[in-house]
Amino acid sequence: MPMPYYQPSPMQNTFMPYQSCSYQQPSQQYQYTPPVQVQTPNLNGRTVNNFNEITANDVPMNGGIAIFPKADLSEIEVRQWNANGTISTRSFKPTLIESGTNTQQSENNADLGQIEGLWQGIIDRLDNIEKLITPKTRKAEEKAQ
Amino acid sequence: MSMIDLLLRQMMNRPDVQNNPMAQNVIKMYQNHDTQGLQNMASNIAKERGINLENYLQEFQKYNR
Repeated sequence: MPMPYYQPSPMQNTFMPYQSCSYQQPSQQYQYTPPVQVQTPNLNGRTVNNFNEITANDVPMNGGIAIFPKADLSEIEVRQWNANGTISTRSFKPTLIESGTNTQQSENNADLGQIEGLWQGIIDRLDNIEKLITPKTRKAEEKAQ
Repeated sequence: MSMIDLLLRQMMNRPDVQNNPMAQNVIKMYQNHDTQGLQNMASNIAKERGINLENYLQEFQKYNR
């Protein structure tokens, strides 16, 4: 019995786009990774020449505060929405602080003054004790002689 | 529990709502059926934005007739 010989038919080589294909490409599954949102603490507000420039839209309604320094830094206002729908305003005015070294020096001077006071108290007490002891020791020495 | 109550509860647990005193107040007033409070709040917000709410309502009623 002759072995069946496989003869490709001329139709088999032709491309048949509608023929169902048994081989399926493994579908690539893209896993969606949401972008990591780094929350940077940002300050709301802006510099103003006059506080009248500030509108309600400049104040965030998310419970946060908005800071409005005057351009000449003579005053700073902080505004925030209240729970009842009004805007509360706090004003800050600068106090001139002298250079940091001077303040530190004055603190050191104050500390030194306190220590000196304590020393003086100790020395006074020691003097009192000395005064109490010295006549007795002299008497004792005299008796011994 | 109604759908709205569920939604409100979900909203109340959101951190951005928890940190927002206005939103907290609105939800509480809604839950307590405090319509007067809500109206006052709306009026206050409108005032802060330079809007007279009563005039707006009158205009709205005129056009609605």
